[in-house]
Amino acid sequence: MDNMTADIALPAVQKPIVAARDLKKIYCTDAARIHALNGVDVSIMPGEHCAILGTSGSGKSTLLSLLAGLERPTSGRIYIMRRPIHAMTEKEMVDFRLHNIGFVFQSFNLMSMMTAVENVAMPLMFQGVPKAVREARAERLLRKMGLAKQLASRPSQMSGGQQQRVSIARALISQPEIIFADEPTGNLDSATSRQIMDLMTEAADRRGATLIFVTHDEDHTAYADRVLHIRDGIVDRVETRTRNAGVSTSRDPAHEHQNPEETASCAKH
Amino acid sequence: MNFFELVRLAAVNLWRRPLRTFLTVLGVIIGTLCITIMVALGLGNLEQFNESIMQNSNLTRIEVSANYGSNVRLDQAAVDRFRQIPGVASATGVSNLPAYITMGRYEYTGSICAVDPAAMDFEFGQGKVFSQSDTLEFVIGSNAREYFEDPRDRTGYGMYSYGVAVAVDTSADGGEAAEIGPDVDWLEESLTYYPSWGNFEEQETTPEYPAPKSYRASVSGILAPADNMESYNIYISQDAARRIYNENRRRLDADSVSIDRYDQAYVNAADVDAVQGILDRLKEMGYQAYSDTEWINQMQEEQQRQQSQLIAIGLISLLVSAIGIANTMLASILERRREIGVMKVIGLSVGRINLMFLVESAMIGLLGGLIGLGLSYATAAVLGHTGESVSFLGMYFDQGVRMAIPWWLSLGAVGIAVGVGLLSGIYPAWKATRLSPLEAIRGAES
Repeated sequence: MDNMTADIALPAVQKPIVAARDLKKIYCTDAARIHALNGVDVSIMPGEHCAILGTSGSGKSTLLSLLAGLERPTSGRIYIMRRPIHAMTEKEMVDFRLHNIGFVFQSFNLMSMMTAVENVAMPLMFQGVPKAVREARAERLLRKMGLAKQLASRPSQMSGGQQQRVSIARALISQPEIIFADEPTGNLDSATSRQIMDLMTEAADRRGATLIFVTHDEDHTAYADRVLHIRDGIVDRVETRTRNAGVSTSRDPAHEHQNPEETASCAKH
Repeated sequence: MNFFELVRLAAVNLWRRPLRTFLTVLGVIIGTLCITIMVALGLGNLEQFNESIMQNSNLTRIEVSANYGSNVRLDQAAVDRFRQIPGVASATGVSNLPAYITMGRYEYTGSICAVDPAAMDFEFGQGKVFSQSDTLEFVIGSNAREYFEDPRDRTGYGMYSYGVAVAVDTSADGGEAAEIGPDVDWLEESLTYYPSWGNFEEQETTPEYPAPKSYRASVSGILAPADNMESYNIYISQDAARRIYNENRRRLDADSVSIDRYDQAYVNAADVDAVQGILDRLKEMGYQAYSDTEWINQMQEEQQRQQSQLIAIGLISLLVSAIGIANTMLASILERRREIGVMKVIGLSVGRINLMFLVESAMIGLLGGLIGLGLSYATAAVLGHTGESVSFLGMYFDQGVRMAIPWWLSLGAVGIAVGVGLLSGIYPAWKATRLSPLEAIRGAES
């Protein structure tokens, strides 16, 4: 009874939503064994925006795909929302992703045969939500994102920025706890990139969702509460920062009290 | 995601490359068309064959004869034993007597059969069966009338040279309108019969080989037109045959005609299913027994052999289309690696992905099967209306190429097409499930 009261009083602050311990990933090719990750510890708090920064080949994408459960680590443990991802069966993992995780890709990855609305509604389709309900929700979300004119457009009829906005809507539609983004602006020009980053971080904040994004662009770390610098398969440096004022106008007060001491302890070498 | 949505998604994906889908479906169409038409041809041929059999043969009739040189006797006692065989409805011995008959200026040369009419299923065009006495009355087969000829008229219509039938009109259902043979009122004619092989007047007669006695005779009935054996025969009662034999014994013995031993016997089964059992029993008893069903069975076996060859041709073309489907599906999956990866990342289970591709390939099969079936019906309709007799793939058709497409063939053809689609989708679908979700986040190549 006491425990319960404590949980309610201090919601999710002490418990990281994503936690990884001693993650290793070795890719075996005929020629060599490549140590993509060499013992990484990560803790990410609920509502936090975390950037994974690194050059190409640093292992940042590998880290993201391990954290999102797309790949299995060679060794180490991963907990998302306190559930052991590393021990799940593929089926459990797929189901877990469907209900708790949103994903934004570098190259948008919309279904070429579907309209914007159908693309956004797809995760709900997989969940078994009736067509009318899910498409109404998708439409509302797209209108909110300024895509009222593109509802019935196919991906090929939209600009890169528009496609990425549809893709963000798709990641948000199932109201996930965590949003993973893999170089979400990698295929966009710098002006559009800023718009997309604004949109994504704002949307995540509005829902209190945790955002974890990979980038190779120093500038984008401005959107993060914390930056994990990855080099040669290890977390080289953790940087805690205050997000720039231009990005976030209305911060969710529930997440304001994350203090630097706590977050700093979340990741180590 | 429910099944209906899976089907819709599959349809959308097939529409992605309409030409490629069409070409793949075309393979299935040809395969289905091939198999349906082949089977339908065989069935149509069989139908036609069965119809003509039903018209012209008596399927319950078994013809029995004694093996040459064997010592089993085919006499009245044997016929009585035949009647005891389970499934036998009736039986009669058949004796043939030589016949030379005159009717006014017409003559008949040949033989006459003595039978028990109870075992004969006579159908009369006019008149009735002969009386069961020793007065000489004939029942004349419809076509046998043609054998009555005028020896002075060697040119006219309906001429015969010893038992070779020419142009006999049997199909006319005008009944008596189709007059065959001499144009006389048969039932009123007075005939004279001699137990002789042909005109005996020029024959030398000796005490050992006396001249035949003559008998006044009449026609009690003419059989209805039919294209069977009875139609070419003339029948008399067994009592009349006995009398003729007794009164001409010396001559007939010299001609080695006997009435104590039957030339043949007819055994009639109660129904077609009993025929085989009776045949077996008769053969056990040491007789030669034959039924049209044996010939029909042989023909049917032959048909089935032919049918299975045709089906094999159809199956080969379906096999080719299966390769086409597998190829299309593999190409399509390779093309959609990224989208499959995205679906996996978002949360579509391996089972659903597998099902999605199976549905897709089954749809190719279904589409091809349905179109192929439709074209088969169209082909059957077109070819069936030419009305000419055709010989095709070793089959002969009276009136146009006849195809029969029963419901089970329609269902089977579409079923096989869908099955081929499913089977050829198994490997590509499995391949799709093996794709890594990482395909979705790898490089930007599209």
